[in-house]
Amino acid sequence: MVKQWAPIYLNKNQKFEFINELSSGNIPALILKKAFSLKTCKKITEKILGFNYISSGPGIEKKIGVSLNSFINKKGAYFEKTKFIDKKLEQYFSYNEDPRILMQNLLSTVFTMETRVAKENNLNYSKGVFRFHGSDESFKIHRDSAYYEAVGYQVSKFPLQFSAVLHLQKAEYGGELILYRKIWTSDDEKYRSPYFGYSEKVVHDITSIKIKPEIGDVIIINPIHYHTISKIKGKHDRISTGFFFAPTNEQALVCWA
Amino acid sequence: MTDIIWGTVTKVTANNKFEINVTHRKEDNKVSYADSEIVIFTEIDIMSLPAESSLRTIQQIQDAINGKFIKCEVISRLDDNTLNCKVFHSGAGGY
Repeated sequence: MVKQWAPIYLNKNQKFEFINELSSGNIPALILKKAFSLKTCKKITEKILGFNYISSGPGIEKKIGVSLNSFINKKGAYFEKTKFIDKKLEQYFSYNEDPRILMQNLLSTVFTMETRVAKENNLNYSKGVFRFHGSDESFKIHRDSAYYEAVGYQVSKFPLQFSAVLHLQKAEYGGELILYRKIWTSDDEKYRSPYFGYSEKVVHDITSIKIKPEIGDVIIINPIHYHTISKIKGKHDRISTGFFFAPTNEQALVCWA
Repeated sequence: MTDIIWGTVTKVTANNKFEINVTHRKEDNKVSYADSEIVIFTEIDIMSLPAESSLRTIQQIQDAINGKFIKCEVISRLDDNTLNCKVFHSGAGGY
């Protein structure tokens, strides 16, 4: 009998003790249902749409916040830009309003471990990124791995890495998370695309699941599994915010983007 | 315009030389490139490597690029058929 590969659903503030099952890939995703209310998500969405510092980066046309993958080879610039943008976001959102801080608190409850922003030489890593995915954009199959890709940054020393994404606004059609039951190996680098992600050949004949994001849900995955987003149609962008996190030897979680 | 090839490094043979499995080529490259090429580099822009070339060891080069997907800007093809290139980290496999 084939073991079913399905997400685990938790209610807000319910504890989760099987982080190893998530890291091994036995569980594809952990979904914290309605972790944020519709009203809160709407308020955050309206607010973030008015923030001026929009940028683009590998694999994304429109985002707010700094991602490590835009600065793989430029560590000084990463920390400088992070300091600038995160200060602007701190001024823009009050402490109790910034969804990235609220998500850190949520993870502390769910995993019963203190969650804090990763630091290097007393400099903070990026607290998280807001991503805007629009109609007719194409999304590459990819995996996320600071361990492999961000060598030279302290966060590459964490062998385990998870991603947490809060869904703030749904696309009218599409925008599902497609998660493949395949973990990246270094041999897959032959399928890389020059600027971002991988050729579809890397997941040829591989089983996948689709997770339809609902507003307020937080989806946690082991992002070493290949994943992508289904085609989006309609007027509204799919808007989300998120970061990566990793357990440390001190029984804490550190996060970064 | 400079010719560009991308691919994964299959073997590092010296502190300025490696073999590459070429998987992508810039559309308007002036000449063609084989699926496997030998590259000698004059510049390499990888954060974990010392900027000063005389300080780089084969081990450091191996740790930094072996098995990795990289971009090579081709300066010229040398008499022994190796490619003289500038070498860069290429894009990202994910966020």
